[in-house]
Amino acid sequence: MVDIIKYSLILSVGFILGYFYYTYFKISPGGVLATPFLVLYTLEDPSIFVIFVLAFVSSIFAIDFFVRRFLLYGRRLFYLALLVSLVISAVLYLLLNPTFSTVFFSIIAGIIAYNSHKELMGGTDYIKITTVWFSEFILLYIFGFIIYSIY
Amino acid sequence: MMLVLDNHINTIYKIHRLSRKDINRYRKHLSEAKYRILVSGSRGKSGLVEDIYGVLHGRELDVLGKVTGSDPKIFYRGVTYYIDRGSNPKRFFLDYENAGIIADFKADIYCFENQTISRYTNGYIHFLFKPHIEIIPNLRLEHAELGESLEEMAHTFGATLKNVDYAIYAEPIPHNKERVIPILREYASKFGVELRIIDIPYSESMLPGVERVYILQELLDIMGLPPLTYHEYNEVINRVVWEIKPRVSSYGFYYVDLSKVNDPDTTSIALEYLKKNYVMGRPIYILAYFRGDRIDRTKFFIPFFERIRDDDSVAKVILGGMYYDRIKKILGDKALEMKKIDMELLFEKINDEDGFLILAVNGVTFEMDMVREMLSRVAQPAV
Repeated sequence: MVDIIKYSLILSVGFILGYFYYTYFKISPGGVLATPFLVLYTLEDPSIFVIFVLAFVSSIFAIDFFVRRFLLYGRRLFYLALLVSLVISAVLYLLLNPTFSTVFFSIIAGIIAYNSHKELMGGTDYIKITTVWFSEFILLYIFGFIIYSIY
Repeated sequence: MMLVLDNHINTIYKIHRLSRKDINRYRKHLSEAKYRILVSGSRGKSGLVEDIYGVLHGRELDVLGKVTGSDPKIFYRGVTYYIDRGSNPKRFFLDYENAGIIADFKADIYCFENQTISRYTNGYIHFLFKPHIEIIPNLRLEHAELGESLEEMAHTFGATLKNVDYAIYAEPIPHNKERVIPILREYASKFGVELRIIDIPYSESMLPGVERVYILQELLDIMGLPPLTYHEYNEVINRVVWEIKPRVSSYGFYYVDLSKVNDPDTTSIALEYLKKNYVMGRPIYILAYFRGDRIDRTKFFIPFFERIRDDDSVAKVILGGMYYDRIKKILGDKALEMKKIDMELLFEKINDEDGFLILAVNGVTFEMDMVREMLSRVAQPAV
């Protein structure tokens, strides 16, 4: 019961934060759901953030490769990013064997990579995308950390 | 000079998947092109692409023009190719259509209409087409995904000027221009783009589309070509005037189809122009159709209908589709609901009153096609 309350609290604050970030910065590299869920999973086991980073970088490279080489865009690229993220995360799960695991986590890197690519295509630079997303993640993580300490 | 209207040979170009060879040819043709011109922004893109093609082709330059929208076409070496997107239009992809055309048609100059409706696809088109020159005739509130205000739209188009050499902006509406120019200037100076801003003389700004002439002059200057000849100038102006000219309906009254003009600013300019030049005191009827999937557009039109409510020259507004109670409430007695009236009787009434009909807002709908069909059909003799 307590778990549901703290998860809901973190997710709710994540959605509100995401909305204000989008309203202010006009970009949303984390999408609506991905960043709050990533924060939740990282709070459960901080080591899986390493898996996220590696899967994210792989997805970004895959997207860039397929866009440049085959001119892919849109939904086809999104599916590709999800697939790469899923495969890389699964392999890293096996190698690193974290204490916490969930399938949804495996596609988060793909969602964020695709959203970042969309923002990049729209003319936003890497620095802004990274800064905006990371600051949103850190703020929510700190909030989540406080909630986890209380409960 | 040979304008596109002079073309008599028409053929079909079918969109196809891109093979490795196609992608290589696309890269080769794109890099060998002397000029890649992208026509972006909101209103009058297709007409401008046709004008650019007409003038450059008339000067015997090797140019390919491509227009998009509901009636996509390619103009190439005097031939008009109608683009066939297949049985399901949702299955066409920006890459198949644009890169495919560049792969299949080699030209020294490519002039494409930017078919984007979101920030992402706008960026993708720039990635795909890599324009040297970008023309933004105007920015109008139309697709919320491009921006919910003019400033947001200016950021959307400004952010993708990154690899462009020249940008031309020719907004004729002063208050829109004041809001957009500082933003475009900011991006132009950041990316080292030469931004050319065109001032439309006030005396001419009331003719919707007149900026096309000035844009062409600027484009020719950038390309190092002589300015428009008297004949070319006349051809372009005649086309601009022709596009807004009223037609006689099969019922006998005059009407103008502005239903593909999906923004309130252009509709207002066109309405004023028509009142001044063609309406001549006749009662105006506006038929506006609202799409359920375009709530953003409906919202953008609310201030327009607030002005129409107080405009004595407008007799009635016929509302169709998902217009919501708010617009009906704004218009009060002036509102008629399409679903509650017999359109045949209404058109006969307009004719009896010597009225003037304007089709507005959403042109690409089955219902508006039906209305157009009713207005343009040849009267059948009674059996």
